[in-house]
Amino acid sequence: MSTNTGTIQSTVKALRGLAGGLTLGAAVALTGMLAIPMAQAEAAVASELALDKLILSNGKIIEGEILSETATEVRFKVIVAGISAPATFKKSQIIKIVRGDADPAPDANDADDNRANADQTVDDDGVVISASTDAPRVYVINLKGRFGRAITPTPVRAAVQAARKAEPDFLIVHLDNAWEYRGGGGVQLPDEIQGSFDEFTIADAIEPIFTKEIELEWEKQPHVVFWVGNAMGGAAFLPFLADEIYMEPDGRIGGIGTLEEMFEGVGDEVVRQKQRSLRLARAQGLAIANGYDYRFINALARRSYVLSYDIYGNLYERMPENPNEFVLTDNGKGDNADTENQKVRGTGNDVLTLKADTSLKLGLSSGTAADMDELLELLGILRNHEMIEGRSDKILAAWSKNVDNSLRQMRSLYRDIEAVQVAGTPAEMRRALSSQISYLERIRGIFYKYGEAFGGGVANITQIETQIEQIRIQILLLRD
Amino acid sequence: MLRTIIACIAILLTTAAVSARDIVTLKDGRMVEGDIIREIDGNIWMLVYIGDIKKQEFFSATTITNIERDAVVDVADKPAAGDEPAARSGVPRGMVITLEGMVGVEMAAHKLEELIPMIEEEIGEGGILVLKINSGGGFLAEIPLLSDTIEYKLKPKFEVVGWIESAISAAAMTGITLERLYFMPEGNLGAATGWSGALVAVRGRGLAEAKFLMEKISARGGRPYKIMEAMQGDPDNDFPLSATVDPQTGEVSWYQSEDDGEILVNPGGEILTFNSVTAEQLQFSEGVARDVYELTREMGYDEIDWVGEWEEGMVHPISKAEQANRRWRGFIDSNKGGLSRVARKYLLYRNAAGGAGPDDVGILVGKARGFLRQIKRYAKESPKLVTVTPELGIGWDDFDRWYTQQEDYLRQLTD
Repeated sequence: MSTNTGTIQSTVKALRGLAGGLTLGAAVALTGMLAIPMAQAEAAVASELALDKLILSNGKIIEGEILSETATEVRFKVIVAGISAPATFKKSQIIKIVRGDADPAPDANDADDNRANADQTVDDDGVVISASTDAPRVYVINLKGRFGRAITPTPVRAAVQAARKAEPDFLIVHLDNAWEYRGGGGVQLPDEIQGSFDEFTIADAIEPIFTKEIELEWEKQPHVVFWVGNAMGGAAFLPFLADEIYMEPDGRIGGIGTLEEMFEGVGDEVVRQKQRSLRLARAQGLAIANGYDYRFINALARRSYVLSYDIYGNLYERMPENPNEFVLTDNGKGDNADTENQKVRGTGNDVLTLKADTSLKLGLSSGTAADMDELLELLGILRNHEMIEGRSDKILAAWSKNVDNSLRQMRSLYRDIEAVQVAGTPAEMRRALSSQISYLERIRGIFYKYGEAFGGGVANITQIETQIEQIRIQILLLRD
Repeated sequence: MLRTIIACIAILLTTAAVSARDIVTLKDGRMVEGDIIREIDGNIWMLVYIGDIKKQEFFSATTITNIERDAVVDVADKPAAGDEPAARSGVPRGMVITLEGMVGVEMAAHKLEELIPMIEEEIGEGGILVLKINSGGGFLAEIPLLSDTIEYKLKPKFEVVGWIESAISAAAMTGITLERLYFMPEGNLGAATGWSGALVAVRGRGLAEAKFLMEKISARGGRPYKIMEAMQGDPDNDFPLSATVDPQTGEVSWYQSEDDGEILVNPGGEILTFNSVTAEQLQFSEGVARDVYELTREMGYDEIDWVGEWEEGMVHPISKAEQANRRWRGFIDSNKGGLSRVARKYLLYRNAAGGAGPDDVGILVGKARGFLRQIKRYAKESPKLVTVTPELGIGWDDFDRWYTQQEDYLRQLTD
C-alpha cells in the first residue's frame, strides 16, 4: 500500500468519473462521438497500470480484473487485446494471484449499452444525471451513535441483511460514531483514551457481517466502501473491514490507545503484558485478513510504538532518517510525550489518530469526500448510478430507540420490585414474592433482547437468575 | 535485454549449484533432489522445488535405493526439474480436524486419541492430517497429554501439520509440537504466560515445570526454545528476542537480546505473540492459507483429496472423524451451560441451608443434594468440565475429594 498507488487509483477513478459523466451526460447530443475517444483515453491510463494476474497450475498467466473471490473460486474478467469476458477459476487451478493496481478499461460495448439504456434526470444544478438500467446500484448504511450501544452486531447484521435485498454494486457504510465525554457534559475527548481497546471484541463480532456473511449469503458481491467521519474507540477497527476506505475532510480513525496502560495496577506485569499481546495480535489479524498493514493497528494502540512513513507511503518502525520521511507516532517518552494542549486538540503523536490527509498519503484511504456526491464522484459513478432506498437506517434508528426505551423500562421494573411490600400472611407474601419474580423475568427478557447494548453498569443474566432463585428459596421456606 | 536475462539465469544457476539439498535415488534410476521434511520407517516426504514453487513428494521405502543428505547439487549436470516425470504415486488424501475451545476441556487429548481409528479409515496411513487450532488456552496439565498424542500417536501414522486460526497460551504451547505450522491470515500464536486469579503470574516450581515442559515440546517441533520463552515470559526476568534472516540461505538465527539480530521480534519486558505476517517472515510458519486450496499449494502439493462433505461457510470439508469431533464438542458446550446453572443453584441452597434454622434446614439440604447429584452426573459425562466451572472452584482431577467433602457437609447440617 503506497502513496503512489493511492494517488494513481484516485486519478484513475477521477478520470473514470469524468469520462462517465461526459459520455452519458452528452449521450443524446453526441451519440457515440465522444464516448469512444473517452473510453480509449481511459484505457490508455489503465494500460499503464498493472492488471490483476492469475498464474494457473498449467502454466498459463491470465490478465484482467478480479470481479469477486470466494473461498473456492475467483470470478475474473479476462482481458485480451482490449476485449473482455467473464470467467470463473477454481482456486485449486490457481498457483498465485498477483493483484494489479488499476481497474481495467471498460468495454467500448459497455459504453454503448449504457447510452442505449440511459434514463436521464436533471439535478438541482441543472446537471444531467443519467442512470442507465444497468447503472451501478448504490446502497448506503449510516452507522451513527455510540459504538457498543447504537452500533452493535444485531442491528448492524439486520441493516446489512436489508441491504442484501437491494443487490447493490456498492455498499457504502458511512461510519460516524459518537465520541463524547461519557461522564456527561458532551465534552469532546482527546484523541487517545485509555481503555477503549477492549471494544475490539464488539468490532470482532461485527467483522464477519461485512466479510464472511456477505461472501456467503450475497449472490452479487458488493464493493464495500467505508466512508469515515468518526471511527473512534472500538469503531476504529471497522474501516479495516472495507474493500476501500474514504474519509471525510475532518474524518479520523483512532481512540484505541493506549494498550500499555490496560490492566495497569492489576496483578503482575508479565501477565498484563500477556493480555495486551494477545489482544493486539487478534486486532492485527483482523487488519491482515482484510488486506491492511497490521502496523497501523500497532500505531493506533501503543504509545511506545514508533512508526514513520516516506513520500511513497512506505512504513518504517523507527523515527524518520531523512527529509522525505515523516513521523506517524513517536515513543511518547520524555520530550516526545504529547502535551495537554496537543491531547485536547488531537494533534499529538504518542498514539496514531489517522486523519484524512495522512490516510490518503499512506494509501490507506482512497480519497477524501465532503459529501455523498463527492464520494460518488471519487468512485466514478456520480453521473451514472442508482441510489437504492432501503430500510437499514430505519432498522438502526429503531434499535437505538428500543435500547433507550428498554433501559428506561428496566429502571422502572426495578422500582416496581422495590415497591412490592413482602408482608402479611404467608399467602400474601407468596403472592408478593411471585410478583417480584415476574418483574425479574421481564428484566431478563429485555436483557436477552438488548443486553449486547447495555455494557457495564447493569445487572447481567447470571445476577438476575441468582436473584430469582433467592426469591424462590424465600417462597420455599414460607409456611402457612 | 538479452544480456540481462542471461546474467539472471547465470546467477540462478550459481545459486542453485551451491545449494545444499537432499538427493533421493530411486530404484527406477531417477534422482530427486529437495529437502527431506519427514521420514518414517524409511518412507520419505520431501519438498522439491520448481523455480519458486515448492511441491511435496512422497517416496515409499521400497522404491528408494539411496539417500544423500545435504548434498551439494550441481544443476548443470541434471535435467530441468520440469522435465522430470512425476514421482508421486496418486493423489494423497487429507482431512482437517479442528482443535477448539478450552485446552483440557473441549481441546482434549483423550478425544483426539479416540478419533485416530476414524482418521486412519478415512485417509489411510501416511495421509495428511491438518490440526486446525482455534483456542484461547486452558490447562497446563493437558499440554503434555496433547503433545504426546500428537508426537507418538499421530506423527508416526500421518503427515501432520498445524493450521493456526488462534493459538493462545496452552494452545500455542501444544501447537509447537508440530514441525510445520501454517497460519490463517487472521491467525495468531503466542502469549503463553501462566497465570491465575487476578492476573497473578505462575512462579517458582510451577514456572520451572512449565519451562522444562516447553523446552521438550519446542524440541519436538524443531524450534529453539528461546522463541517459546519469549512467549512465556517470567515475572522476574525479561526475555527479549531478535532474529536475522540470512538473505542467501533464508536461514533464521535467533538471539535472546534486542540488538544482536537485525529484526527486533520481542522487546524485553513484553510477551511475544506472532501474527500471520511475522510468523511467515521469520519462518516460524511455512505460510498463510485461507482455505484448504491455499493450504494445498502452501504445502507444496498439486492436489490433495480432502475427504468429507462441504458445508456452507467452511474453509475445509467435514470428514466423518471431524463430525464426531464436533458432536462431542457440542455436547460439552451444552453441558457447560447446564453445569454452570446447576452449580449456582447448588451453592445458593447449600449456603441458605448453612444459615437456616432447624425447621428449614432439611428442605434446603434436600434441594441442595438434588443439585449436587446433577453436578456429579455432569462430572461423569465430561470430567474436566467441573474443573472449569468457576462457581465450584474445584482443582484439576480433584472432583472426587470435593464431592465427598460436600456430602459430608450436607450430612453434618442435618445431623
